[in-house]
Amino acid sequence: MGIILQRITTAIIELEIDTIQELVTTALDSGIDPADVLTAATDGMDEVGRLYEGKEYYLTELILAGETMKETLEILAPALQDKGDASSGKDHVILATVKGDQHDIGKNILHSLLIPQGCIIHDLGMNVDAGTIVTKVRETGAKVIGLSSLLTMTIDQVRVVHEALVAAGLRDCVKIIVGGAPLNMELALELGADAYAKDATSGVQEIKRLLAS
Amino acid sequence: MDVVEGITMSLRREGEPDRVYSFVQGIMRKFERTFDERYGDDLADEEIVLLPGKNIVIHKKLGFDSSWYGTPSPEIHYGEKHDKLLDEFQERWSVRNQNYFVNNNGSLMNRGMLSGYSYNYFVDGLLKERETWEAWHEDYEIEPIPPERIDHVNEALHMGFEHDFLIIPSTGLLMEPLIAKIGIDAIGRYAYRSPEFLEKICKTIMKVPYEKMRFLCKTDAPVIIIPDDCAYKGRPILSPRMYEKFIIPHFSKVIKMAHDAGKLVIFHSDGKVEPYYNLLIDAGLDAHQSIEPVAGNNLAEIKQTYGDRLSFIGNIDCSRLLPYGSRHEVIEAVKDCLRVGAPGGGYMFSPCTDLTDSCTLENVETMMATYKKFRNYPITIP
Repeated sequence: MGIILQRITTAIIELEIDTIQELVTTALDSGIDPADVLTAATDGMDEVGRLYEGKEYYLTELILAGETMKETLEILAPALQDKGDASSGKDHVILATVKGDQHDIGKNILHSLLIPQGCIIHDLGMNVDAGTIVTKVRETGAKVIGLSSLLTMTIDQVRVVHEALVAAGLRDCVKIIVGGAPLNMELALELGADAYAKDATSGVQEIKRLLAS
Repeated sequence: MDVVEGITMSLRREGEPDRVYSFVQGIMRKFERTFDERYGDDLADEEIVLLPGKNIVIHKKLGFDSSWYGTPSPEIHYGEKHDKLLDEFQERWSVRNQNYFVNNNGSLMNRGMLSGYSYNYFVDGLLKERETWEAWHEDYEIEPIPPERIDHVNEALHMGFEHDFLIIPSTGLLMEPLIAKIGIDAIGRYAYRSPEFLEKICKTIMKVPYEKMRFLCKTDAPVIIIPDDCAYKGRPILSPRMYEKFIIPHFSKVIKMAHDAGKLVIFHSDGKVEPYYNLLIDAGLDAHQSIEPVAGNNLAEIKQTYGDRLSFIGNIDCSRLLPYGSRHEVIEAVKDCLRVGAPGGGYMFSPCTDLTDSCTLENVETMMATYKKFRNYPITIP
């Protein structure tokens, strides 16, 4: 049992996108608890994050690892639901690229790295206006909003979202984390955000911290 | 010293020229409009400098010495399978989003707006599957760029020389077209699972850059720029190992073509390119342009580590400094760049990207006034 779980961890680390579904299926067919399979896969993703931080892995590897994780969850998600591991009690996170900006690579990588963290992700896509984000916060009770802006011209939209949340009386209920080429921590705070992440892996760590706070 | 002498001396790292020379990539439309509103009616006739294929009025008025210049592209022919696939893609994607369309590169694009102007955003490369790639490129052929276009480029170059301005013709390379055609996810997948197929893809893509470089080698351009974004904040997209395997062999060849024709080569990429510097130096590169501060580039450090083997152009921040910085911050940033970049030569002054729509004219003018005040060798900056 331990061998197949170890094999799943290794397959995620070594980006074996072509074989991961077969491994997960074999694990489930042999009676392994889906939660243990998820833990094995998450361990693999954690190691991928470490390899990225250590500059052994780069963006291509990070994306490929995210794709491999998605393949894993395609098989695993129904099994987890059957076991009653429903979404109740989990934290909601909203992701969006701000209004006026249509770049989403960073946001999508963050999305795929957040999947194994057990939160419920509402990815609103690109070019999302503040009103849509406010509505989603109200609807889901999300604790964190991750905003992406690649363009210098659109970073002011972070402030627009912040002010819209204040106007809606929701700002104290939700944290805003931002990322994107023109941003840094100083600018993030100036625009009304609570946190900044320089890349997707640090974004995961920051979001975990914000959810725990 | 004229701009050609000064710039080539800077790029060759042959010591300190008379002054630090300058470069600007491009100027975005809203910034142009602001400039026109401020100065349009007051420009003297001799200030209106229109080269064939390039308007350098703003460049000259602000005091830049050089800028890049588009190179004619070869005509590309595709086969019937490409046309059929393109129709299928258009139909499939326009149903999902009416603003989506697919271009001849196999890129899914999204029609949108940027600063009040229509702008097409890249969404993803669609030629991810081997069968799709092969069908798309069956009967793919490119024609040599017509030799008469050489005269057009030379006319622009020589008119530029008359105004003591250097246009630097460009040819793309490999990283950007790879992303445009197959997407970053497929690059990673093939690099790990079918490297020989990724090499085949690279070879097909490189037909256009090789032809453009062949063409440029026949022009009078003393310097050629290769824009091919390969990095983002903090690091490059591909690992140095992969970049060395898939990109550098082609990069070396185009640099050699240029050097054999007596031309110098500048590489443009945003982001933090430093992990590739040793590879690029071994490939023969003369200079790297951009050196974005927000991507984590420290000009002093890279100049100290690589300055004897590579020249640098840029490092003025266009993300925060030029749009939002105070006058004092702009002045200090320019002084810092000149203080650490200029000594010994091998440095050209430049905003790290285009002058974007969010850069203010006041800050850009402050930047250029400070640059002009302190640019003469020997550099003495308080």
